[in-house]
Amino acid sequence: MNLDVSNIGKSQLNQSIHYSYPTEIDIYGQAVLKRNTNLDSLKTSQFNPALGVNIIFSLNGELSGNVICQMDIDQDNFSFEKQALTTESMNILIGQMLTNFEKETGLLITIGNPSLVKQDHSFFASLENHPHNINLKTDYSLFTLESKIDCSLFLFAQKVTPREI
Amino acid sequence: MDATKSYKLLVVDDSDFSRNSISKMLDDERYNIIGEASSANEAISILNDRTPHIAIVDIVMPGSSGFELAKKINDNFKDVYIIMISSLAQENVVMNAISSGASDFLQKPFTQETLINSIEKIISTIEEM
Repeated sequence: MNLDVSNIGKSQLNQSIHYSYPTEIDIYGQAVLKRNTNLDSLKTSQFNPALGVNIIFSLNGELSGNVICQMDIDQDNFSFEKQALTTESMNILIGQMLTNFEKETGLLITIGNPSLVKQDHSFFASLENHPHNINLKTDYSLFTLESKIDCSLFLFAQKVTPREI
Repeated sequence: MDATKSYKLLVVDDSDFSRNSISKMLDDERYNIIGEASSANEAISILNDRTPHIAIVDIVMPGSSGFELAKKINDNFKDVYIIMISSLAQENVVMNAISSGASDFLQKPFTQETLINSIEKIISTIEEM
């Protein structure tokens, strides 16, 4: 089968991404991730790295770009334990979303290793210059016994060349 | 089944939270976690020193991936069974895991029951040999 991502319309792609984000995930019985909002479109210029701690995952495959997970927490309060929990929770969330997305569309996307990126990193300055045509945001809360951490997921990506299956 | 026998396990995952969660799930005399590694290189160092029955290996890690580690384990530590784990579970990923030599694949986050079932299935194979 010749699957061409360029044949899938933007609204269909956005809808598939919307349905691919899980509503709730139990993180090894130690935390629960709950989705708060539907998917919103936004411009890359609307993203403000200063509003939280940013964990970035690269996307590779038939969509290329990044998911920025912005945790609503002060860097000073971001202990090693919280960092380990939130990073793995975001890895699980994005992994499940991409797995669901492949079932919805047949498009294969993988993620890279997470990186904690400071607000003044050149990555954010160059974000607006990238040719992203998929700019989407959704919000989750991560609940543990002791705390609740709100997080926004920004997906900035573009379609890449079709593949032969 | 010999319920009194203890089996040695190695946990390989770059996520501290994931390694800790797996260790907690396997907090039982039947499962002896002989080492935890956060990378493929660290895992090879442990394997050169101690041989587990089963290695639980994450796929996406900095440096060498879990796929590459699984191939190295199959080439150099033939008695070690592998359970691959990942948050990604697309058909392609699962097929790559199995073709890399994994006996089983689990999508994160899995339950304690799922993990133990996977381990016990491998233990049954070991005991039948």
